Amino acid sequence: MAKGLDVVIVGGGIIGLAGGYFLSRKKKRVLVIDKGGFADGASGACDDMILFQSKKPGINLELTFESLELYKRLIVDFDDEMQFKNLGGMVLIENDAELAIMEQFVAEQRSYGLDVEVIGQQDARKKQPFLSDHIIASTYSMMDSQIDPFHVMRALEKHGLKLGMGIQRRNGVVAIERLGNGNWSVVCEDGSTHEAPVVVNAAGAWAPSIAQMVGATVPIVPKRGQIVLSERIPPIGETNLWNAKYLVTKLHKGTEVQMTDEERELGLSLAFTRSAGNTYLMGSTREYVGYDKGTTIAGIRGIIDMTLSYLPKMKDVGIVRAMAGLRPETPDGKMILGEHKNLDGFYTAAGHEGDGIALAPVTAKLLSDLICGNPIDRDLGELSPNRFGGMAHE
Amino acid sequence: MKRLKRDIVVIGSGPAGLCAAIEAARSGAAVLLVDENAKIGGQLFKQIHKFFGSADHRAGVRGIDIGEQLLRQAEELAVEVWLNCEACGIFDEKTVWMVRDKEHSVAVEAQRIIIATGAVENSINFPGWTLPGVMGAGAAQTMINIHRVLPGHRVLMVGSGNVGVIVSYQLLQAGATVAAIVEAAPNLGGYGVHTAKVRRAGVPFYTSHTVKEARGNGHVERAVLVKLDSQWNQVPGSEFEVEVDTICIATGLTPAVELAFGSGCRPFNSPPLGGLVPVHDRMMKSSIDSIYIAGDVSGVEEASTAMEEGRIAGLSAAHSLGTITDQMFAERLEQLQHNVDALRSGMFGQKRREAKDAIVRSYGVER
Repeated sequence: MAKGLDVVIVGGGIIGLAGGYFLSRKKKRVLVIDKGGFADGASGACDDMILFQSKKPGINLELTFESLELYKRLIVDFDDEMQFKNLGGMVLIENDAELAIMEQFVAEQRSYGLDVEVIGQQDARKKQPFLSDHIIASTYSMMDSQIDPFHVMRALEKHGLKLGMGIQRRNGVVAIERLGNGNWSVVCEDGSTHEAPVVVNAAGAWAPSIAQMVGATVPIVPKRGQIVLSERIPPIGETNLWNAKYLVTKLHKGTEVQMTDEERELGLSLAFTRSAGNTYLMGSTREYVGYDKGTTIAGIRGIIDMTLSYLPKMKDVGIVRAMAGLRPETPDGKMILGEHKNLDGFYTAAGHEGDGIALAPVTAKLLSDLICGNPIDRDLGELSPNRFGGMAHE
Repeated sequence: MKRLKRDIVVIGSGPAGLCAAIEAARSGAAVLLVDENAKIGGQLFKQIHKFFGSADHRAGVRGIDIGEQLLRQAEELAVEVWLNCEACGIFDEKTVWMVRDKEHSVAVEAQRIIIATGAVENSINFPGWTLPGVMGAGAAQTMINIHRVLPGHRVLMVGSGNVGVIVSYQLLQAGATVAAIVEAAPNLGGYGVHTAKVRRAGVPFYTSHTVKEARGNGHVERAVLVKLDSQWNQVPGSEFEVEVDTICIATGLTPAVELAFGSGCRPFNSPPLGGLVPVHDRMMKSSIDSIYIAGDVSGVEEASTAMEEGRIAGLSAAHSLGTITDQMFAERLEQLQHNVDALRSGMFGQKRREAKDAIVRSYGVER
């Protein structure tokens, strides 16, 4: 049995790697274990956004602010290329009903300190000349940013390794047992075991099965997001784009929006962003299909049709690839972060849904503060794994 | 969206795909042959040189003539052909999703799929490699033999393998000057008969040399060559310039495996055959029961072998659908496998044969 570890992190996606790096910085001896390869899961099949505008005022928005600041410091500390860009973002508005809801939402976000505004059709076209004529207005926030997940994960890994962090890949965890001395023993597929007082479950969509190994419940369900990638093209606009259609249904449950059956079934909403490789990422679906990571004809077609409805000019651009990731969704849309009740030393840091990239640094910072017993100047109760009680997933 | 059904869909109409379609149709299957290009035949119609092998393999016949014969056979057998048709993906191991004429997409449900997507040319990077005038040797060959356009007047060929020397000779025939052929290895790579023809025409060969840089204002005007030591490092001070307006890169091929791997076919690493290839058995079946592969995608060899492999894939796929009797299948398979084995014998074939055997062995072990 390998000894001398302080923390074993199960899951080597962006949350696990960030957690490993932050804990290593606090002199903890950390081992990160992953059943797959580098960027095999959701962290390698996602867009690159640090997105403010989709957040309801509250802890998610606040944490995004903190995370952006942490990213800015990491960029300086690492002195590595992480492809950070601050292009700003727009949420496209198609009709008066959406406009009314978005105006109210923008006002709430502004009161929380987010620099965001509603701009008219003409201003929207200045930033995005190829927008469809039917877009009547847009929101705009210059704070929406991007960072390349692959570069971030590579940098976290490189600097974590320098600090002594260990990483094991292609070695799934098969059991987690409590030893007589109070430590946890993590048993891997290859037969190796790793002992540590602290285990962090950072397994994303697979967090429920890891929690189950210690008898805990983590109410996360996998939500499949398909994404389509374009060929490399010159920039066709200034900002990144989302559509209001999906957002308003989340903000005002029961809001009637015009959606085709296909859009509804696939949970389609627009996310259009220029990637580090000068391709465009077009997303995305939101599907409940268990752990199936495949792409589908309907999904790819749906994304392309939807993108064309906002940016007709994209019909001249080639598609090179499609991919899908499983976003770990929680019942209340907030991540799960904290120690499990009656399971001393067993933590979960998962359930970021589509915000894993955006929230990785702040999650890692809070996780390391929790484990090291450092003071935290916010109440993390609403993120606690114990908040759900017997609550079943919606 | 339209959804159609076919017995067998063959993707790629080069030597392997064309032969697979013919063999499967001859065996009684309804075959759809698709290709992303505007013309059928893949690289076959630009092979104006005579092929090697025995009489069974139509040795001494030019690739372009073999292509014409195959086209007639495909027509007689009523093989359905869709050109300008790009296969984007295979879903659920049986549905081929395609974009036709860059306009509309169509999904075809196939009982069997034969992937014959061929290979892509490798490139090497050096300062100036994006200048107009730097191109794949295969691209230059397409220009002269298909489009009848000379890519340039003074050509540097990078790579002395069969593609390098054959394309060099055809460039000479087309009226260009081949200023030099550089080969990074200490020995020349191509068949002696092709190499000798180029040598007799007075083209200088530089072994243990590579191109260091392409220079020019807006297009290639000069190439800087450099000597390589035994560790393949550039020897400082050994640089010299050759005046050329075209640089052709003939540094090998990589199997075009994206469609196969995207479909879930299990990979096998075979460096002698170009790298990662879908693992397959002697009947050219991939790790997925409904998907067969043939030609360069299953390991880079040459056109005659690709044609025989294509026939085996077409025959096996049709037989698995019950269109021919077991006895007919066994007899024809024996004949085809004999042909393939003959092509993989001798000094040049032995290595390929060993590499193929390793792939087939891996198929057996893992299943």
